[in-house]
Amino acid sequence: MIAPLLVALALQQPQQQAQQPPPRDSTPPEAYYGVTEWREARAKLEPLMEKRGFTVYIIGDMEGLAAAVRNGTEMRPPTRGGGSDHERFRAELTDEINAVIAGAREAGATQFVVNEGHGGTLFRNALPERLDSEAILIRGYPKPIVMSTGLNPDVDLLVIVGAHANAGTPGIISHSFAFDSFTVNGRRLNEAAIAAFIGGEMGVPMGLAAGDQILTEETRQMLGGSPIETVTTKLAMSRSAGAGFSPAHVHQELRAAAARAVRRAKAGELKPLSLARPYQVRLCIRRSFDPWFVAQIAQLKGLRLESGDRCFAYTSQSAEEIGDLLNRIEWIVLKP
Amino acid sequence: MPGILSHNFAFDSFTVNGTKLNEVGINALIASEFGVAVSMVSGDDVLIRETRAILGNDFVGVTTKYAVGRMAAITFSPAKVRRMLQDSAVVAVRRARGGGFRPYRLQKPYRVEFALRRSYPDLVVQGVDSLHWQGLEKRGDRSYRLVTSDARVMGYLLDAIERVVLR
Repeated sequence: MIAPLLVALALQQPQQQAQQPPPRDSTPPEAYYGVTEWREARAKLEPLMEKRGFTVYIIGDMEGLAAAVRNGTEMRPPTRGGGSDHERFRAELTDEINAVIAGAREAGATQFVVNEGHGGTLFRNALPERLDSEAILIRGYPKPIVMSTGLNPDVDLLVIVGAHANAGTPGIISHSFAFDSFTVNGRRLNEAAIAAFIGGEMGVPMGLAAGDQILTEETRQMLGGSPIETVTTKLAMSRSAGAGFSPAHVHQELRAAAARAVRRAKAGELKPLSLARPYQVRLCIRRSFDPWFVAQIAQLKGLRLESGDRCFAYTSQSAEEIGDLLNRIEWIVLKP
Repeated sequence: MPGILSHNFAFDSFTVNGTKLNEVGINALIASEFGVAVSMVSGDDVLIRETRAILGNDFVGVTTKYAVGRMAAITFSPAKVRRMLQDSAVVAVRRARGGGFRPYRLQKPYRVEFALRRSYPDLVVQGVDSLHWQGLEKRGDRSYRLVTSDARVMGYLLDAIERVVLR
């Protein structure tokens, strides 16, 4: 029974190859989902914030969480090609954010904005019922400026948990958005540092980053000597293995580090990341991405093909505008 | 500005006497046939804003989240939202008992005009056509008009259309 079937399949194959693949959907996000402009996201968040308190803006990514090592199964739900382990790490993400909130509150922080930063689940990872009930949670996709939605000058301190090391490093699940490399004025920035750059422009310092030892070391360097707190959740041994500290230990560390970071921010010891204008961005799209992605990205306004077939330059006076560009690139590579 | 998962029954547009009604507005009009007023509405900021444009300020609005796209929002914790709803319900019932809300009124007879969603297959349009609903006039490809003095009749038509769409 099988042999004739194989013959039939073999006969069909050339015919299938001759057919044109269906055209890829290039509808801009506005037309599909109505992505709100980043200015509008800010205009909606700002009135919700009490001005006189101390606000911590927490970005929740997932690769750097305690014990997380494997992208395929742990970072995505089964509905997006992942595994049931993902549910466990959603709880871990929520607990690590709660630990930061608890520590920051001990040091006098009064308001907490949590922004989902992990795309594997289309930015819906933290468990709303488990998250500190005072926190404002920004979730869903697409949303403006990916990891810095609604970030504004009323924020006093920027924190990132579950962060991962930059593309090209031996960190656990290391990567950077859609890029093999991303620099501003020649400085390499990982995802955490890009958020710090967007915050830095509006005078908001990053005070705490948590992830593996590669992430914590490189983020310290990228933030140019500002005395940020870091929590090393695990020691990377390869891109998908490491020696991890227990979640309970990591939560304790996060709590203590968040309290120290708030005190540092209050004392004015943290320096917002400030780069010279105009910002000269250079980004190379991942080698692993289909040429189709690159062709779509090449059509984005303001991008100039610089060298090779997938490295682009972009010049801007605004870090938020650069964040918006990242969002448009994410839309191309991360279409729901 | 898009609301979270924004839509209106089976329609791309729905107006009564030229006034755009969302699902809340449609139900408010039906309720008014019984002399019942809308006292409280909860949903995202886009919903509350557009409902104020329809019903005016004459209801207690609870903004549970702020849309930053059709599928992304600035949200409050479920615990906080439940507290907001509980507190607002108290205010709404007190005001209602004091006669504080008026039923939503539009001029009769109602001129109900709507267009079925562009995204639907023709089969749905044919299904609505074959309802042969009394008084339902086809005005275009997917647009219709019904004139009635009873908002309940409009409600029964919506029911019939939902049965075609939701099969």
